[in-house]
Amino acid sequence: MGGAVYKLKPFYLIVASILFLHTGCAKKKMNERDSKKEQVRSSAQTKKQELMLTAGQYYGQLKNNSYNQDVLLNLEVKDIPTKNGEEIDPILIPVITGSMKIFFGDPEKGEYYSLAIEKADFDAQKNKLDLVVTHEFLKEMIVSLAVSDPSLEGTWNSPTFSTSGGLSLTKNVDLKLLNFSVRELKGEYLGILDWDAKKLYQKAHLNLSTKQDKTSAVSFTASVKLYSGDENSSETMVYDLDRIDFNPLTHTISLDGQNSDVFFIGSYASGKITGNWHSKLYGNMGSMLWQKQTFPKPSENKKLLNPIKGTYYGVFKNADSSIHLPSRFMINLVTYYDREKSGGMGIAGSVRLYYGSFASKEFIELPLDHLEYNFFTRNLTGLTSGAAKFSIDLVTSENTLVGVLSDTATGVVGSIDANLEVPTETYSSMGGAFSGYFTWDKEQRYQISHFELTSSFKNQEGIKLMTSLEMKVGQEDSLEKVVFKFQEADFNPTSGSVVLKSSDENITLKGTLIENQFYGEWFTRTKGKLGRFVLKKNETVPLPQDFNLISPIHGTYLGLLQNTSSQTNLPERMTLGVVTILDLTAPYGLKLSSNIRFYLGPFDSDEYVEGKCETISFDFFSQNYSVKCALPQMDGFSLSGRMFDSKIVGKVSYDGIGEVAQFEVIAQ
Amino acid sequence: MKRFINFALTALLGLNFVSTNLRAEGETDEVRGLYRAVLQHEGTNFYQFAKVTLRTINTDGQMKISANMKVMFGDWDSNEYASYDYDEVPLNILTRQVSIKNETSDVSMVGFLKGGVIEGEWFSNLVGKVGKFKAQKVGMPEVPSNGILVKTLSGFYKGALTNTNPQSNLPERLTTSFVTTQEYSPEGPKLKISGNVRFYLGEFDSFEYVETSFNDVQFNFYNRYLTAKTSEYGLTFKGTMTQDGKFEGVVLSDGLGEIGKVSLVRN
Repeated sequence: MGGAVYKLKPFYLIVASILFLHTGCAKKKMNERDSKKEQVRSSAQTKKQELMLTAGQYYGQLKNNSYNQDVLLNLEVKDIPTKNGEEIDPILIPVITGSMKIFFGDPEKGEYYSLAIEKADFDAQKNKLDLVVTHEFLKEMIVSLAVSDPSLEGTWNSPTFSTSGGLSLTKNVDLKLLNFSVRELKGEYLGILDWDAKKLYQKAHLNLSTKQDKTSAVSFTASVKLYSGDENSSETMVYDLDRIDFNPLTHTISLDGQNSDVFFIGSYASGKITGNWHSKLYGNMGSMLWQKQTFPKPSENKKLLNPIKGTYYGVFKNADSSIHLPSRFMINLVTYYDREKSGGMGIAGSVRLYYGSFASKEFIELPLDHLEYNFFTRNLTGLTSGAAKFSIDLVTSENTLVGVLSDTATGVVGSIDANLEVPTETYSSMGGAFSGYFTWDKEQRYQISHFELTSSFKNQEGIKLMTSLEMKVGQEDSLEKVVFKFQEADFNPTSGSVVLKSSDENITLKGTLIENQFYGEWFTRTKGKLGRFVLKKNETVPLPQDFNLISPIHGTYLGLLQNTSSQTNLPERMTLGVVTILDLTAPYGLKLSSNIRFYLGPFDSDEYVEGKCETISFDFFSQNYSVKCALPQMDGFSLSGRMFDSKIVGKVSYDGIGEVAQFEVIAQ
Repeated sequence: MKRFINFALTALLGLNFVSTNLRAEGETDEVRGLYRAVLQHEGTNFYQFAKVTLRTINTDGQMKISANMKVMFGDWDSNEYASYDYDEVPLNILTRQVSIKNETSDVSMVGFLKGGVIEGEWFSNLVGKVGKFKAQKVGMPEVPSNGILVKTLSGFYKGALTNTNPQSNLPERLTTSFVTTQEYSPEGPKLKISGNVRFYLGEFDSFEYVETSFNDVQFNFYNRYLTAKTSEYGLTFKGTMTQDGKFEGVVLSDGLGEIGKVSLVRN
């Protein structure tokens, strides 16, 4: 110590010199200061006594038009040294300090905003206490109170938030006697969200969490679950709300999330949150009301937003006559959790176009790929895959799906109107028995026909058709007919077009299959187009008036023969007797046998020579035939030509000679 | 009928037929029936008439033809004819060739039947092909323009005899008469010829004659060879009777042989 002083000796000499000079001058002043100081000290003591009247802990409520907010005001009197330039024995001035705690729930454990008393003025004469409390977030709040021990009554004003209200406080309230838990901000809120534009309401669940942060304020996190359907529905949209702002003075609250499609803006009062909810893309969706424990009562003029998932049955209407999609339409939608999707809700489904009744298996199933569901516009769009490429653009509303189906190449193909109601209908099938006619245009004939159709659906291949045809030769009750089966055929679901080829690929039908009718044109490999056909199910087809019914083949044909060879002299009169037999091993199930007579005398006389004709080769569709005939001791005859509708024309040939005659015979 | 068939045949290809018409027509087109025929003798102007009857039956759906042919000597109503029966007449349907022949008949015909007409050739077992023929059901067939109808044998013949044997001196003037009748036998009708001969010692038309009958007259209508044997005197006349009634031949005696030449002409 002595060493240090010794080292600082020059310094202290200087200071001492100064002090000596100062105290010499100050000595004179000290006496005046002391006096004054005593006065101030005395005054401070008095002030302190006055201020002590206000000290204490007050509980009360901030009030405004919309809410009452719990608040604790803690007033303390502290002696603050004056800042009069004296550093030794400063005068202690009593000031009111403390804090105002705006709290929710338990004042100790709940959520609170702690505002510091920055300035306090107490006028003991008027019993008026003015405070300025501040908070980093809430800024400045001006409180004017009338002191009436143990109460403080007054007003508060927040210039920053342009809000104000009343304040009522009472000292030394036993807080333990009060139930604050119901007023906690955090908790589970059950809400009703209105969809104003669609006259719907939606149930929702808000889970609000709070944490006291370093700024003596409350930080919030939340998650919201929007239900499609009731609160037990599994179809939900879930969002994390990590941007929540709450002003305890205005009680306004906004809940938003960085990745949320929705945000909520409202106000909190008495455990309820009211306001509006918004879509970030589509704006204000409607009003909202949240409360704890029970769902609020929804508006009577609004209906519950239903889940979109389900099986919808409906009607499809083709956009124009070139489209022949079936009228029965089903769309099946399922929702599932997908963290990659907005709101965590994924949607998948498939479309079925039914050619039979909904109970039948006659449908084309088209999986829906790229299915997008806009929760806010209630729009559903997607693309089908599989046998046909369509896009769907639907809007859901009150358990219905309404919209259009489009071909990816040509545009809108038709409209859809479907709902969840399972239709009651009798079983029907695109398959079945069709009846109608086929025409032979060149010959101006028609044939009564019966057509059998069965169908099956193969994944990735679509509908396959198995068909067979029976064409009557003659009247409906004729036993004479040609029958054949067609190869399995594809069915174009959009146009309804079908191409059927017979097993031997000789006959081709090109037509359109719509509902209960099948019509088109038919062809043979050798002759090309033969005519048209019209077939209907459960309905009688008017027969063509401009054509005649084809005649049966069997019968007796009678006519004349003309010798064309100089070596022959066959009788000019001849008959052919033709018998038809149904033989499924024969081409088209029709087998012919015949005999021939050459009449040397008149027809109907017994002056004839008769022969048996074996091995008749007859193609009903090309109308060509050929046959060998054997007469007594002469078996070298053969006939060939064309046989159709009551007439046989052709030539007679003889082995070794060739053509010997031509003939034409007509059925009797 | 002909007009219709012609129409129908020309309208055979590509035109419609009315079947009822076809059925209505044709009753006269039967194969069966009587055909009147003209038989020509080839190389000559001679011709004969014939009546061919075709009969048809239908057995098991097959038409069978049988026939009867009467070859006339003389006119259509002559009773001098040779009759032949044919149980089976084969018909080739392809060519409509009919073959009227059998082993027992001297005469046969092969022709083509068409439209109620049979045309072809006729044959004799003795001479082979005799010539052409045409038979038709309707109407009469045309006779050759310069044709000579083969006459009947029946008739009266007058002529001369020349003795060629010094031991014979028959009268030089003679007449013969022949009569043909049809005699029915189990084999069918047969032609029987009878006649007599007069030897005129005086003039023709006088009563100065010696007459004897022929008890055996054989005449081959096709080669025209005639033999006639008298019932008395043992004389046989042999020679050829031409289609127009001229006889050239010899007379033979049973004991002397050839005794003279004869030449007769139909009177």
